[in-house]
Amino acid sequence: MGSTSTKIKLRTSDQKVFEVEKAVAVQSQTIKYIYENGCPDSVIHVHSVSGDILSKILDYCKKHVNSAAGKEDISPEELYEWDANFVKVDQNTLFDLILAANCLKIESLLDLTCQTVANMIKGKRPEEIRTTFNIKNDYTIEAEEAVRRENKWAFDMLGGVGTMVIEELADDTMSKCVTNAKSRVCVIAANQIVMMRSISKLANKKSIDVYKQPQNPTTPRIKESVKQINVGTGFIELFFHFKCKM
Amino acid sequence: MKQKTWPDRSDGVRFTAFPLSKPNDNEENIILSRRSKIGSKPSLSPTDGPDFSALPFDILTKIAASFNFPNLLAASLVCRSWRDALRPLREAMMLLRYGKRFKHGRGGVRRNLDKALDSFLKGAARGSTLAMVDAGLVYWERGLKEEAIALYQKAAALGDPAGQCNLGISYLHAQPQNHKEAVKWLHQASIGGYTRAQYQLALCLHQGLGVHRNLYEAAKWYLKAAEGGYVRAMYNASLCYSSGVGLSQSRRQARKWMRRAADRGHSKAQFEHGLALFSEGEMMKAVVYLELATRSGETAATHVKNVILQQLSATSRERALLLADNWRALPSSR
Repeated sequence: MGSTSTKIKLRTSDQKVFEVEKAVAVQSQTIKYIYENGCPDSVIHVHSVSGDILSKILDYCKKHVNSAAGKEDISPEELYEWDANFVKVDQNTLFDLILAANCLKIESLLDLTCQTVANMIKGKRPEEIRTTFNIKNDYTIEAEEAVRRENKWAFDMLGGVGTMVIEELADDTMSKCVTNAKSRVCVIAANQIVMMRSISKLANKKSIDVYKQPQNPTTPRIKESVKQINVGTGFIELFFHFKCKM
Repeated sequence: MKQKTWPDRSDGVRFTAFPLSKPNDNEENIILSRRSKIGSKPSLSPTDGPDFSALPFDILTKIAASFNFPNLLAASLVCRSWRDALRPLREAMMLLRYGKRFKHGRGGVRRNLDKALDSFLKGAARGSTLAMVDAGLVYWERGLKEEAIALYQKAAALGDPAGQCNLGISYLHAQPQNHKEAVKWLHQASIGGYTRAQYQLALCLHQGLGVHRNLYEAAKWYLKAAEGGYVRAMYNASLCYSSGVGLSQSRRQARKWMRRAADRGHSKAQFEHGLALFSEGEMMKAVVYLELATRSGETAATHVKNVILQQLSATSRERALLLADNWRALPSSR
């Protein structure tokens, strides 16, 4: 097949043609696939990538190929620095690089660009993230609350003592359950619903006193307020929603 | 000249490829089904500005893979499509919490490593690097090193500093040892601010493992790790300062770091610091540190300690031993 100086031609969405060494071009798994499964001499269309972006991407590939092959004397730290500078671009370019790396299946570039975006997100509040990326807030207040609540439930529940699978309860906690500070108790029961004493008073009460032993199930009042949330496969948790304030 | 276009998504890789080229391509519908917002082409026109809310789900999952819960929640609250994309990761967080409780036997649950591992693996399957690292730790503790390394590799590729550090360390201990790879990953984790990795990297640079011996760089990383709270790094930084190796000689800095290491429980540092105090005439303080050092097994400290004790009165001796009994190490990042 090819010698080390085999060239591959690439045509971009804006009709620019690039001629690159095979070793550089096949950093893209997509290009590699096409090249190996088609005519070696034909031009490969890179439809969704513009000339500017492809040019940058080829720079990246070339640098990494050369450093891996030892053609360039560059230490890992220097390569890291080079990569860091590579992604110091405006958002438009960064966005295009991500999509292009995804399309062209250049894993290391995708990792690099994703990390860059991740670092731009970390530590920021949602409003700040929206400002950074110019994203429109399409949340209704209810939807936003739902997300906060979804996780708040889960975390108060999973973080507080109230949550446990009945069969897993340690011996000393079988007989009583501690209420957490926010007065919600979430009981995960594989198949059973644990009945609570004085449940009729719960509607108005803040703190909830829990049971002695699992009794037989469901009064209509509990039934209507039992909400079932699926968390992934094989995981069914029952959260009790009380009429009292959450 | 025959023109080539993209393959359709038959090669089994997980990326959501964007629809490309062919006008009669039926794959477009399949690929678009997860992305209700965007049209048939990604928005690349400069006039509109990039639409980050339209990033494909698998890219968003990749970006947020190493987020802790607060960051994940913030990202989920940015816009609805991000919320939807990050749902698996939020589930993974719950599984992670669950797994931790089983691992440590907290919250009224019996300690159960199998269930912990199971939870962690489910979280890892949803793409959370924190879960991957925890699962890897359980595997490692059980001696299943290959499985652990596989998980660390996944986490490291997604940019998780803990995963990168653990991967680096496992390469250091692997048979056969692979120091170059180890250093590569330790370096990444160190840049990410992970103190343990910084210390390990400094050791490698110091001993010339997998990289050219470089005492300046080693000292620099010791200092970084020391500033991050890593006790052994504090001790080494102090040695660098006192010997002038890698750092400009500074008795003051050396003393400062030795004291800090001693206060955090480093036995050799307690010995050295005790000696330094002795030479300065601070007998009470010196004997307390030397006593602590002796208790931690530094037999060399015993002799000097006894010399000082003989010079003290009985009440002072008692007081010194009382201070040693009541001493508690300051918190450190390990």
